[in-house]
Amino acid sequence: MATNNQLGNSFINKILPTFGQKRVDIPIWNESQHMFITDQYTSAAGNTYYLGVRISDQFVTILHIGLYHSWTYINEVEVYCFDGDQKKLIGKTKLDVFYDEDLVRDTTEKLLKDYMSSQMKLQGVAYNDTQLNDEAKKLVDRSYLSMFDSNTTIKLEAVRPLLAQHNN
Amino acid sequence: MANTSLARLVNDALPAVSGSSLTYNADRNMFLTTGYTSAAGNTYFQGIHLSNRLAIVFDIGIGYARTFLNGLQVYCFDGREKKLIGSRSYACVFYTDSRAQREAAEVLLEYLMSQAKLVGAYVSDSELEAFAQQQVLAAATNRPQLTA
Repeated sequence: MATNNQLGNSFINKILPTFGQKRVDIPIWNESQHMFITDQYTSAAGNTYYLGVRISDQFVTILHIGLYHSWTYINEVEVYCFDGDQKKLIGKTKLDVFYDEDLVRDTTEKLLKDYMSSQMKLQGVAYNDTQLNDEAKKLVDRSYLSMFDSNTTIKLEAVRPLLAQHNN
Repeated sequence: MANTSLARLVNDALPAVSGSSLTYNADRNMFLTTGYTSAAGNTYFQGIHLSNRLAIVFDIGIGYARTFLNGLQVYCFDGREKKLIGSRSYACVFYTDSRAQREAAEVLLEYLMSQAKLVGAYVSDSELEAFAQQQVLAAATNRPQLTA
């Protein structure tokens, strides 16, 4: 069985410290939800809140998640596009229901589709609803990354500023 | 871990892990939060395993004669605060100790592997897998003393 020494005390103690010791500041990736976990806090009532951040090459999804009693809630979904190296809000929806990944996916697709259709309308460009729905679905599919996919490269120096922006 | 240090850990860390009042179930070596019973008669609560490095929280539901695993969260510590490092949700999964521990070990392994990848550290997956299982087992089998 692997021991702490075999793995390297230094690395394990940094990312999995004993109670009372500080954890190193490396962004936390939740593979099961395909997103970074950031901005965690626990209220006086004992409820824990955090942001789930999905980053793709064309947009960022931020999920406001709450843990109450023994249930997980999705409180809000926000979608940002990029403007240079900054993020720009393009849509948000308040949900406040039990966490449901299908609902999160549908909501993100709708926000992207609404953004694209409104932009096209503002520019007087004709669009096809079905095509936009398909495009939104493809974009959202691509945002569900796996850290362990050999094609996935997530560079810390690239995502740190994006994750840090959410502290504001 | 010596019993005295474990007792201190339990007294110190549990308030950081759960804001709810807790009971200790010796059979499962698990701390249980206060349950909530719905109008339909289903009861929901959380079960917590604790070690000096981890808090594993299982969302449990009891409906009719079945116990379900509805979700789990794995926390590490950052100073005296808990920090969520992974979670999963389930639909219609029966609770068993072995299934719950296997799921927790997988979530911990995903965390360890992703941290290694993010900093470019090379650690073999098999070493990390064995370490994750060892850590979850430690949390599940420690017999904490409830008084210092």
